[in-house]
Amino acid sequence: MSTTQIDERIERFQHQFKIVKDEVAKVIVGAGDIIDGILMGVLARGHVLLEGVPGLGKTKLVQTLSGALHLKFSRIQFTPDLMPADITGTNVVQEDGHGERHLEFQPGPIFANVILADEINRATPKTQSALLEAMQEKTVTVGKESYRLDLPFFVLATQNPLEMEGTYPLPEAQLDRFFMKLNVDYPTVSSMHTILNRTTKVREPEPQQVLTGDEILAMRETVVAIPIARPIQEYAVRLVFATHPGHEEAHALTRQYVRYGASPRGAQALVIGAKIRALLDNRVHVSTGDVRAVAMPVLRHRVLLNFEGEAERIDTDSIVEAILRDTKGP
Amino acid sequence: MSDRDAIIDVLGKARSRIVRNRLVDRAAAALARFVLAGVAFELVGVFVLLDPVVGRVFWTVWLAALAVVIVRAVRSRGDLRATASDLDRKARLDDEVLSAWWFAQQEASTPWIDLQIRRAAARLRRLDVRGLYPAAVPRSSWVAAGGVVLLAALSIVPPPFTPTLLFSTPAPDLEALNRQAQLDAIDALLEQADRLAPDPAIAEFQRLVENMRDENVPLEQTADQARQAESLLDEGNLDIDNLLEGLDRMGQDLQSAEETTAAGEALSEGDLPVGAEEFQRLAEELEGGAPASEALEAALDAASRDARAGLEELAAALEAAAEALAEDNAAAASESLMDAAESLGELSDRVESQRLQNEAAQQMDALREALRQQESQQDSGEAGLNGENPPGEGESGTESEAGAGDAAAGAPQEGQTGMPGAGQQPASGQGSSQLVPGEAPEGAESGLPPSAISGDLQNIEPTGTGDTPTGIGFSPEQKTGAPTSLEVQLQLLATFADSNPESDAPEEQPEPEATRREQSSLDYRDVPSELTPAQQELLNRERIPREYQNVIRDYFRAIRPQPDSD
Repeated sequence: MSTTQIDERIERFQHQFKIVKDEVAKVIVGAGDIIDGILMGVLARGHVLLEGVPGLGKTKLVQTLSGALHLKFSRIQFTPDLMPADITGTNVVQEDGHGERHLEFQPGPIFANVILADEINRATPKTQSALLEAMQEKTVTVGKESYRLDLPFFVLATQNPLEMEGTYPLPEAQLDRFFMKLNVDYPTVSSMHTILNRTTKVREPEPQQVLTGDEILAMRETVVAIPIARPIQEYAVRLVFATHPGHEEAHALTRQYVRYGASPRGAQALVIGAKIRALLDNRVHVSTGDVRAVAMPVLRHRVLLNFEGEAERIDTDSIVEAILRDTKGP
Repeated sequence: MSDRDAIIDVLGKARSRIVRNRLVDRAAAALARFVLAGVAFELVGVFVLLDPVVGRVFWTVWLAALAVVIVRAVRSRGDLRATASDLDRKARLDDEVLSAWWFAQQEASTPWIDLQIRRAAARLRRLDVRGLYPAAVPRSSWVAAGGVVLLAALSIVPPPFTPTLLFSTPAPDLEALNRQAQLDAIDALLEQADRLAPDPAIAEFQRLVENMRDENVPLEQTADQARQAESLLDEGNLDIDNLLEGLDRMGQDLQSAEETTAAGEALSEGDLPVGAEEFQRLAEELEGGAPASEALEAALDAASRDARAGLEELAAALEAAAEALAEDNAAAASESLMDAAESLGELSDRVESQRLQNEAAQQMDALREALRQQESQQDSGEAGLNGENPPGEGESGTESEAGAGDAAAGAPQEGQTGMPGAGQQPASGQGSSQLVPGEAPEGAESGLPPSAISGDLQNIEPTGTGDTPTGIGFSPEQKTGAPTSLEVQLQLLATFADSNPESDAPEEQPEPEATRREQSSLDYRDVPSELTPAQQELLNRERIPREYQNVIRDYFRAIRPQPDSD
């Protein structure tokens, strides 16, 4: 591959990223970082968890994104009585023309490219765990049969803050499978005006499909092609180990308040996210700035507090901030 | 040059500039810190006399530590990775150089890596490394320069020959230098006196001077020696006094003849050189055939008979001259008068020698007094620092020490009354006052010497045993302990009050008790003083420095009864 080809790929990557973002921005006002984060998750073969109080447009954002992508979209509204089979699908008895009965697999809503798991923490942990296999192996096993999901596959989950009524915290294993956790905050005043102007008209803007599944897969290949130098990777590793209370590089706050730190999957997410950010900045090298920029959404849900941390109501964001502040660069 | 080589080359240049700047920075910072430490040491040396060994050790450690810091700064070369990282930070390159350098080191080659290296090399070629790492003078170097100037100033000023910096010695003790100069002056006086007329007191004083030159000999250890020397000096003063008294009587005898009137007046006034010249002149006249009167013979004979101890040679010469005149032997009379002149010359040298000894003793006494005060201040200062004595009690401790020393010598309290104590009150005032009549008032003015006291206090009955040189003593009750200066002052004031006719003035009516209570409601320490700090300090001193004794003299003169009031 020549330099020119690489430049073209980078340019194409940036262009495609931009047109999707612009398309989503037609509907979603503000929340540029949230859109970037979701797209990063898509390009990193990851899943994104959106957290925020009801009414901030989390569902709308995901719907808009899926509308901009030429992919199969499926929405699952998680409720306390939702069962795993309601997600994965189940074998049902079918009778053919000869009157013979046989079991036939009826795919659930998970068989799509983009899954909106709305209010995921309103379902029981058992149902929440039904997503584990699909999120990691991109397969679904029902009975004795495993079914492969179509690629690209990614889950965009929304959840209400844990303090709200009728919520179940996500299992640690499932949390770790999310590439990023993005906190959706209230819009600014100007953004609020724009939202009102757009949504109170007779016709709301709708996104156009601007990116196909193949193009997303190609963009993913571009991302992973960028080499990262060892010193930068060491920095990412140090950040991850700084979240481990038993490690020698653990931060003081980590030793005091953290039960478990980020897994290797967290380090992978740091590097992949940094690579995407480097590409978006028209660079072919990854910098520590890229790592730092994605560290917060990548690590905040992977830092599990101990009893003391819970009792003190320590925010994991403050721990990650302290780690970013105190971890020495290359 | 390939892209990889270009990266390494630029990094090498940047590294050398970083190392150079860092070296300058660290060296300047280290120099500033060390120079400031040296300045602090010099400042301590200005106020505190440090042992030269301390100075040498300090400066040796100083130089060694400075050398270590600079050598470590020179040897810290830094690596290219740190240089790349620093370059990224300086030029805001987002770790591009660091990544490119790392891949260049790995010699890995993929299209993406090659592109990365190419981009980094192109950027580095456009980079102004000199601009990123300018050769700037660090701020700490100005501090170091200022410190060096200050250090030099402290080492050179005020005495330009101070070898503090060059020879690693603390600043010289100016007081010690001054003390040595004073001792040199005393030594010169003693040598001059020795040349005129050797005396045991001179040898004793010279040994004392040598001991005082030795800083290892404490001042107290020389006290006995000083007392011994002054005792000898006192004996010499008494001898000279006796001689002068005898010469006075001989002079009066000689004034009965016209030919020896001038010589007699000179002897009475103690002007021995003039007396010798007059004898010479008379001898030459007699030898020239001038007639001699009978009165001259009688005067010479009378003078020879009034001679005292120590004047035997002069008396013999005068007697021989009288006999020669009686026999009309003018030549023999002339020769005898020449002998008398020679004898007078020797006596003159002896008197002059004694005067020089007294002057040397006076200077020695002033020096010892100054040293004693210095020690007292140091002792009180140390005691105050150690919390041994509460503030204000430092002098009492010093006084007790001095009093103990005096009591051991069996002498009354010295200094305050102007009465010479054993080995502490300068004998010079007394001596000079007794040597030459014309100098007596001058000697009395140099403090409160015995003559002055005896002149002013003629009405004082000597209540003691008279063992003080002035004959003024204290009652046995008073001599049981070393009287404090306050007691002595009060005694003198009481004596003056008794002898002062103005003391008959009506006494002031005592204030009512209530008024006194009102006055006492204010702490006396809070009453603002009209005295200057220097005057207060002077009054608080246990001993009055010689240079301020004129003040004391003026005070006593002021309260002296006026002649017309008698």
